[in-house]
Amino acid sequence: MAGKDYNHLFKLLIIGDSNVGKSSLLLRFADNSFSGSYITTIGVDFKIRTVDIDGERVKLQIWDTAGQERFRTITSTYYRNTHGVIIVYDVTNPESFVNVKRWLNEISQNCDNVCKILVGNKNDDPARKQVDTQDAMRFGETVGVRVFETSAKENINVEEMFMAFTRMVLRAKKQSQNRAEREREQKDTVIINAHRDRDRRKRGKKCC
Amino acid sequence: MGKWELTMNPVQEWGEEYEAGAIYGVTLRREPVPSSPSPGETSPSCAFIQYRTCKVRRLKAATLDILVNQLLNPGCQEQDYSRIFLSTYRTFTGTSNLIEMLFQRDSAASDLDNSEYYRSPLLAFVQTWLDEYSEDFRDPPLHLPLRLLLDHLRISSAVYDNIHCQPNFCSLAGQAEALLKRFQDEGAETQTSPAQADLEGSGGEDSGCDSSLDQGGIMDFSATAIAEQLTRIDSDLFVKVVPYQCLGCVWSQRDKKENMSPTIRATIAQFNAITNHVIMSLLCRPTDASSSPPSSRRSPTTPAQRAAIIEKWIRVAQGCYQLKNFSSLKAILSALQSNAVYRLRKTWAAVSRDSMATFDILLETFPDENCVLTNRELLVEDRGQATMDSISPKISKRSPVRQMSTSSGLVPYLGTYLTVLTMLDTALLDTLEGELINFEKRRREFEVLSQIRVLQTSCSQYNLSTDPRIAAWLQGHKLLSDQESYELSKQLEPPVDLCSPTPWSHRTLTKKLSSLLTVNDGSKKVPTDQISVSSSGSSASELEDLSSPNSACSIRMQSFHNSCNNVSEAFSSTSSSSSSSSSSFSSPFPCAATTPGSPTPSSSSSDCQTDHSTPVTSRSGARPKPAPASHHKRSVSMTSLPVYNRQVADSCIIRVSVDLGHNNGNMYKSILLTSQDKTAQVIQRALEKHHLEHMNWRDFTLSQVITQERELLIPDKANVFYAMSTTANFDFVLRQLHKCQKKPLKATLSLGRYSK
Repeated sequence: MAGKDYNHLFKLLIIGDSNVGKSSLLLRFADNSFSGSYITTIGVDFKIRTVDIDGERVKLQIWDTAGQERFRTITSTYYRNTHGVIIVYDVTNPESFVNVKRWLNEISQNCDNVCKILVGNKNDDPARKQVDTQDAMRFGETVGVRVFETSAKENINVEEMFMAFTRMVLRAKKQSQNRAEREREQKDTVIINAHRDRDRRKRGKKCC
Repeated sequence: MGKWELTMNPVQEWGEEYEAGAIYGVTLRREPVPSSPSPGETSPSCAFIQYRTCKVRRLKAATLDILVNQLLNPGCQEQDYSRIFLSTYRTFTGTSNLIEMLFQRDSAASDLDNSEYYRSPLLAFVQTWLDEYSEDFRDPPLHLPLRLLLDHLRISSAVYDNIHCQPNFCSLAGQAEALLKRFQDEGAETQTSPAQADLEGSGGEDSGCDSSLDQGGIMDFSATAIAEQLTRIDSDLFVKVVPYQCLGCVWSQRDKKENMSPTIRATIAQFNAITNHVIMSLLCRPTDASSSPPSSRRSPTTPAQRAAIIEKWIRVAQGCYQLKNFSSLKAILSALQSNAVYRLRKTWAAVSRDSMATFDILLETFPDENCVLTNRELLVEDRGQATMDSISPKISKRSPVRQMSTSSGLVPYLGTYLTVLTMLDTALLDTLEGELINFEKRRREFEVLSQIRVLQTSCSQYNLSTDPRIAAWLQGHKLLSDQESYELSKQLEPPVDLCSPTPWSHRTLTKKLSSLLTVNDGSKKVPTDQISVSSSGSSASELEDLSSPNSACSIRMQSFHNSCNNVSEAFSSTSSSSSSSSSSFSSPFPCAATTPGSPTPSSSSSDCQTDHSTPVTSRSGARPKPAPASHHKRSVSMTSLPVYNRQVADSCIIRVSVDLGHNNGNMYKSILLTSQDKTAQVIQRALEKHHLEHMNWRDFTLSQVITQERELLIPDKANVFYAMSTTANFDFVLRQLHKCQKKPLKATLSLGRYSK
């Protein structure tokens, strides 16, 4: 890992309706503060944070298109190369929850094999809550996506959500890595044959 | 000039000072003492430069009273203070309230100062306000704030005015009056002809601007002319953008209030209209534009025709780039990458190499979001030039267009700014210490807004004339929703053989589906969520492809293909190969391939083509990266059509069947083999083509069938292209290993089995 300060690099994307608090979540996690002092060195297109998962350094690039929701086809360009998508809704706004389906549909149209997580944000005032936790959980189960409820404002569950999601993405990567690993082992065993094979091939060419 | 000077920041944060109702930030600014006027001093070999340090205070946060007082404070050290205030004040107070406060203070100040030459600081402020922020006063129908200002100006003009200095209250009153008249005239205009319909948002609702006239299509106009018209429209709209409406706290309220940020909505509407144009031009025939798209059953365009349209749009994008119109450039690039267009593999494969290279470069060099805020310091010092410099180096780097003139107009992609401002708004608090208005936040926002202003000014340098024909063509189109585009896209290049529901395909589908059901828990993921999403009714039209008995399955199929036909480079091996599934599904002719190179005799199902007759498809399947970025590489080999049983250049077509022990038929799948392909990849690809991707490729061996009795087992690590026998038929078979067998051993043994 020379020259890199991390073991894994993941590109994550935050999507969801406008005003559900995507940027708040991101800022809370990327900097874990609302002070905004970091903005002097603003990296607008994505936020970076490196986290430690079981002794491994995982660098997260989190992309947010907040403010661009009304530009059609913009998100499709962001889906490329994404390892994970965080779909955010606002627990005080049922419409944003209904639209989760639309976002899921968009994801399925644009990427294959991507980790997903559903996040109900603004979960800090029971009186204003309109999307029931049970409903969200049930929905999450039917679509096979884990649900978290967070409050970026009060910093509730934000860290936990991002960490859990990072684990999910890392696990997915490990699984595909393991496959590759086994593949390599097998290749190592046959490497001599491959050589011989190529020699044979060369000879064959000369004859022709 | 020494290195030391360059590296040292001349401004140092010193700290904060608190006063009642205000927090000041204190910086120490180091500046060179102006050199003595003696003539010899100008030489660069000057031994030393003298510096002095000045303490600069700026308001970080304060009560509204103090902020307003500062406007009228002649000793205000901050040059931009008025403009920062004017750009942002409406986030914490109203226009009328500000007018009242200002005139109240001014009259108090002038009462104290009775000298004849009293020069009210208010004059300069109001002048700036009317000159640069006149949109603040637009408040239809009555424009009350402007009337209020006018009243105050008239009174002040009567009471204090000194008409010998410019500006004076009288001249400002005249300016305000003219402004009021302009607003009223504009209001009358929009009443007679309603403002252009808000086109933004996903379509579906009829925009009503369909024209039955044959307006021609994209191919009828030159790319440069189209780019110029787009730029003309975009720059007109961009110049009208009121920067204030971009502020995070304003723009984020857009869904709550109907008429928020109309100038931004207009820009977005145009952006969306362009993306729609691009998508329409590729999915519908030009004359279809006016009819309801899904019903149009006219002969569809061919991949080659569509590829020509893509190439044309890439040229238009290039034209936009040359004109520095990043708004339409982004619209075209993103439309070409939208799912409905992006998935047209045959089309993309037919796009010329040069066009693909241009497309890639345009994508790569699109000024990224960060460049908005780079060189902010420069911007403050020299606004005009700095902004251009901060943006252009990035662009000119590896530019597809040799050089760009530096002093020309520039239309940015506004979305970048909206995101930046949303971030700033989220990150920075509106108030500090309870009641104090966080002016530092407004200062930051102003920096971004002033960039927008600089670029707006630059747009005056465009000198583009209207082309009525292109303008008409650009205007008249029906909007397609994402779902409609997807439906059309599927009609053009079907993902599955769903278009001809013969008994055969039904049976096969059911069979395939049952295997897909098992896949679900296996390695190849068909995420369950996609399934229920489709079934949840959000995309009902997807479900109509199959008759009801199979509907449950078709949902799954649909979602499966949704995912199959899309690209995730991260998991390239699985996703890429699945792309080929679309064609193999539609290949019910196992024997068709036996006649080398001949078109499939019985390709009866109208929209379906087998692999054999469409080498392009198999090519796309062969590439691990099906992103358009790699398409041009693919088209290299387009020049030499594949021939069976022959290696041409560095590729050939092989046929692979699977031996699963039970009677699986004698079904071959054709695969494009390149000189880069290893055994494992070929096995994986063959499995996926046979829709056996749920099976572990490690459980299979790949052998070339030399004769009835003899087979050449290709070793696991081999490069299949070089390992295979070129004298025998290019027919291969996948055989399943028994659980106990160790593959490497078998591979070693295998070599002996084939002796040539």
